[in-house]
Amino acid sequence: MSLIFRRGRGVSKLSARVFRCALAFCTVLALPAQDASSVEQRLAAMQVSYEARIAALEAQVQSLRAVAPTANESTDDVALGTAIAGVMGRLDQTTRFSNRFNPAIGLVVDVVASASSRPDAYAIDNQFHLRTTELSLAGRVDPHVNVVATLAATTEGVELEEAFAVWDRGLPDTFTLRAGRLPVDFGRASPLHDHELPFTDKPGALQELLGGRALTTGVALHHWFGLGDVPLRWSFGVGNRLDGDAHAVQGPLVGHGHDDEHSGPEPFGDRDGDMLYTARITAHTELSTDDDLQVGASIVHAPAERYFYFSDPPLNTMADAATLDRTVSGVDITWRHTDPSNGSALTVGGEWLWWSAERADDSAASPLFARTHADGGWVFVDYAFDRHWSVSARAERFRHLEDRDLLWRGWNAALSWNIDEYHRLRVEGGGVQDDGLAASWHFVQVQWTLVLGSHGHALAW
Amino acid sequence: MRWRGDALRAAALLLLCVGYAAAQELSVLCTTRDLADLAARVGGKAVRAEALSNGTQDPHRVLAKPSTLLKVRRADVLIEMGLDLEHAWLPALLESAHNERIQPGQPGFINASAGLVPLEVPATADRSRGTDVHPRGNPHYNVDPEGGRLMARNIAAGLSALRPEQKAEFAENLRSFEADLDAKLKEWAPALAKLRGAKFVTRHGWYVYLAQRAGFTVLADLEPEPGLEPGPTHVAAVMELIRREKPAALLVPPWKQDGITARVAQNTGVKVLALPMGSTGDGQNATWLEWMDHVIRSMAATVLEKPAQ
Repeated sequence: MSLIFRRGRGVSKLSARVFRCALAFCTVLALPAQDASSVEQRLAAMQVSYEARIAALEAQVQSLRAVAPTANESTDDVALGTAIAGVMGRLDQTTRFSNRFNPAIGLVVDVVASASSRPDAYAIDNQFHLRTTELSLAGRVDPHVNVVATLAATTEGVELEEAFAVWDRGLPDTFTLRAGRLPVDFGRASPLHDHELPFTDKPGALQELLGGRALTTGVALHHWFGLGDVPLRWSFGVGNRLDGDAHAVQGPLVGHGHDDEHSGPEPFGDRDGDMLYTARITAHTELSTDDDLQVGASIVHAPAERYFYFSDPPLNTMADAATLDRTVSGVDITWRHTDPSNGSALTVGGEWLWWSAERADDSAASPLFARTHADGGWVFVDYAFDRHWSVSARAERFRHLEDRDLLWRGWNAALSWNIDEYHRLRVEGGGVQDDGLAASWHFVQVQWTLVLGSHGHALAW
Repeated sequence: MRWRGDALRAAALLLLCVGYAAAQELSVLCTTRDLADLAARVGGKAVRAEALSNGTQDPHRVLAKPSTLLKVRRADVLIEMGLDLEHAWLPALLESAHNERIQPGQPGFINASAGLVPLEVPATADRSRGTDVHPRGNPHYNVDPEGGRLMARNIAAGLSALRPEQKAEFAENLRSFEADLDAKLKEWAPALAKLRGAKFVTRHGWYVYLAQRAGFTVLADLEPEPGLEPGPTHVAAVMELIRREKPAALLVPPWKQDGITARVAQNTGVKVLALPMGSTGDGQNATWLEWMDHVIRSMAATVLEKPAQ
């Protein structure tokens, strides 16, 4: 204000004082009396902050002053040179080529070399395979919302894996709202990207019953609270349909890739229609200082998916449609023991899924619809010796959707070497016995995962 | 029956008093035990300080557990070391906890490194120079007597901003701490003098600030670059240097007493000195001052007496 009055020649000193008094009076009136202490607090905090900044700047000035001018260069010359450089220097405007507001960018490259004795070996077996090159962008839109987008490039093409906004500030309590194409909050393993798993692939049961990584396009509300000393989180989501996304090298979805409404086999293919509803509840508790336990339950329910088919013989030129329902539910449990003194950690966990849906029996002359059930799950153990080395083992089984009497049983073990936080090598081997193929086989593979640039996650639980 | 009514009223009054006292006490959550110790020292009865890690843990990699969320959610004050020391775990906790009181920029958020002129500020943030690159400089200023003074002063300033009515109390507590520190500095003078000119080998850049203060030399680091495990070539080069220069000790944190450390010690005969990298809340490292005392005396004990001229 004083600057204005110094420059404002038309304003007399008296009127300036009157104006200042009036302004101060209005300011006092505008501030509620009960806010005085909070204003004082903020002022004090600002004072502390500015004092710290001033101290840092003073230190910077001192270090700059330590660089003395050369013998034949006077201090005035240096000052003039600095002034000229300042005048002719930066534009001091943000241009359309500026990158200062760009989001954080990260790239994950995941390469797998696999060898398998599987009798119906797919093309990606027994060779090197660039599984994914995953480009992720993340940044804040404004103080309330951030956006995450992930593009996955494979040798088959480029797909938008996820692109969703997270309203994480300004909502009441700990509520968070997500909207867009987002991972379904189902269990512990499904929302993870493949390269974040302790194994190369998602468990076979997850591939078979949920399509791998479950995705939907819709909205989801998340909230957590403390039930005493136990944090409890729940979420509820609504989406268009359940899409499965898998880049499996081994497992039932090897060679399928993506199970959305336009491709892939039942139960995910060729379905469209009404909304999908998802829900999850999970609690996490510390059993001791070094032991913690997490339990959770999840469900996805599509009450009315449209299934299109042609009658045989055709009753008309239009496809017939049936309305079918589908539900997948699951429970998960994870126990972890950590030793902070040496960084080792033992994690034991498991998930079990149940699948129930009306399905078309394509073998019949005209589609017959019947309710089918299947279930499956896995248990795993992971021991991290330190931040660099870990061993993991997993056993799994599930009933095939086509015929619940046909079982898939598998096991695998992996040794992971985290060379650093951005670079990992993994050797993995395993075996499968599949009643569906009436065969058993073994596989061995090497996975090389690299992270370039920014890569971070919110707390996942 | 009247006595029952009186007893109930007395109990209610007691509960109110206890509740009021609890409400007046600031819940201070600190990322390290050092900060919690200094917050308790400076804050006195006005604070209830709790640490999320202690000196036997690697503070770069504290496990961010959902159960910790409740502590972060309920805290009135959060004190961090800063300079990206906690970048791997603290931002995710802060983001999920939805506690506006302790978000950066709020009065309840205290960065204990404010005003520090950091060492080892890299010219560029480039991961070819290691994966534990701290773009704002080396964050291990707690391993320095003056680092304790800085942390305590920043905590006092932060608490005073939050509770201006108790500013005098915090200032008095700070004075008391600084008097103890000054007394310790006099006590440590012979040990620090002994360290001047001494040579050490380290595992990670924990001792940068203390080396500058005491005037000892860090000959080599077993980490080829911050955050990277040493390969055979680097280990061989460091062992050769140790044989040639005969450092007083190989300084390692407790979580790095592994095969590499054992191999280097076995092949070179160098003394391994495993010291916690902060106070632990118990034993001889219970407080930051006690731990600093332990570090300085232990290091000085490894340095051979200089022969008389």
